[in-house]
Amino acid sequence: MGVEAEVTPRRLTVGRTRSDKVFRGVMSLGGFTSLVVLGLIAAFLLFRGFEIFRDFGLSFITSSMWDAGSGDATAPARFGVAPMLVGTIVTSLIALVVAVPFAVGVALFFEYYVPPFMKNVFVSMLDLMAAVPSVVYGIWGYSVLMPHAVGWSKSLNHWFGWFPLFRVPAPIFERSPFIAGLLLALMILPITTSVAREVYSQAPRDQIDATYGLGATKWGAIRTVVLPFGKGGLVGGAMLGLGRALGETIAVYLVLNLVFKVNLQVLASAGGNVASLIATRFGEASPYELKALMAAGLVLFMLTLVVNMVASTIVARSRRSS
Amino acid sequence: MTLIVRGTVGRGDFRRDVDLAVEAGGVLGIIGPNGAGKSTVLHTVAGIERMVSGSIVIDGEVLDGPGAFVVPELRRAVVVFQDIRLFPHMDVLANVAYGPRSHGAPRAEAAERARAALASVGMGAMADRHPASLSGGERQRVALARAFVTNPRILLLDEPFAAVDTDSRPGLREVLKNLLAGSTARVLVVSHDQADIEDLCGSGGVTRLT
Repeated sequence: MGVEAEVTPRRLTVGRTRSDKVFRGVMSLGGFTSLVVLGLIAAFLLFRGFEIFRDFGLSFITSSMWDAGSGDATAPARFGVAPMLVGTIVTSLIALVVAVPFAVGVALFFEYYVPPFMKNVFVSMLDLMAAVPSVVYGIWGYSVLMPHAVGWSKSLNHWFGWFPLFRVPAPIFERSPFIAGLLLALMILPITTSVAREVYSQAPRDQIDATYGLGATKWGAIRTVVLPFGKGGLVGGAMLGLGRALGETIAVYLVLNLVFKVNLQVLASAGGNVASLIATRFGEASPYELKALMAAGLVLFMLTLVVNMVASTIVARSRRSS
Repeated sequence: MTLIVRGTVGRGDFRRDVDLAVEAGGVLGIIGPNGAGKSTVLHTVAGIERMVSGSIVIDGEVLDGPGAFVVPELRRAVVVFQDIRLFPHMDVLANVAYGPRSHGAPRAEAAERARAALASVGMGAMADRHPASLSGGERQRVALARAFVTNPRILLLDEPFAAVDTDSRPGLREVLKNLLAGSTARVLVVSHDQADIEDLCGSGGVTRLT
């Protein structure tokens, strides 16, 4: 008995010190606060927009109508955000298609080609792009980008008009989803590039040297080691950019014609996105229309939330695998 | 037809003086303690690092020296690294075909040469496997095939048996000796192990870094 009692393992406990507890408390509070705020926003939008979902059901998402009505039974209000939802997704996808190849090129240039003493200057300039207010982008897009982009649109329509996406019902090319997409591409370039650069900078040095040791060029090393290594991280960066593009309001509002019709012809002067719809209608909305705008906000909120969750999952997975 | 490395290699505060020469088809051993700069010499000859001062000359062509630097892809120098460094996302055949592909060989020709090289190291049956599924000795054989398939004029072997267990070493040593016997490359071999070096270098000689 006595021997058994002696060999019983001693129980080890690690007590947290007071500073540990305080630090843990502060960090937990910060983490939970952001979750609570997120939940409160969702709850607020749901509470304010619930009536709309009850009245219109799924047709609020699938139909193409925004009519506040006259407030009585003769002309009832009808709301459906399908064109804005489609416009949001189309402009964001255009932004992604344009921005991601640029981001890859710029990130590789910064990490592997720019002399070290110039790298910080370039990186600061790119980061500065993220700090430019949306409205400035919008004004610049309207007055500088659009006159040029109209010419590009005409060329695309001329050469690739046989492709359904590049057809137009009338030869008006101003304020199209294409132009909005280009502007959004510029706006999401900093975040996408920044993530890509971060991932590419962590590409394994020994593998890169191994390619040189076999007589590969720098581009050979990038293609063999850096790009495959950074694939997951790049997808994550692109999704973060997409998250920003989906929610962009004022810049899109300035360069895109708000039309309540689902439009997949990206060069045509018709479209819109959920955020700019809310911005446009908010000031003069009746109480009932305000609820519809809240419901539209909730739809956008959910869309952005899903995109960001997918992004963080992909980034986490790529970090684990690397 | 001689490779001559004469001058100082290193980076930052780390500097080592080097003076060595090796004939075509010759093997020169480099021994020395940890931190003597053995691997740095190999990396510098390959063009992965630059010389601090002095020059690397082969057949009268300056690869590295005052006002001259030939980039790695134009040196026809190949390194077999101490920690092997096969590309984990490629199968064995693609790993070995990588060198010829980098030098512009068409896909089919590169694959054919890679298969022949794998056969010469006894790895012909493992072409479809990935590096993670190979033993240390098998990986080192693939690494040797990957180096010799490019028919290099400079071959740099960094501790070629370090990542291999003692049972696999004799077989691997024989494979390497056969490959060296059929090669006209100027070979530099770095090792801790005096016996390994003497076995490979024959009459070529050994130089010691301190």
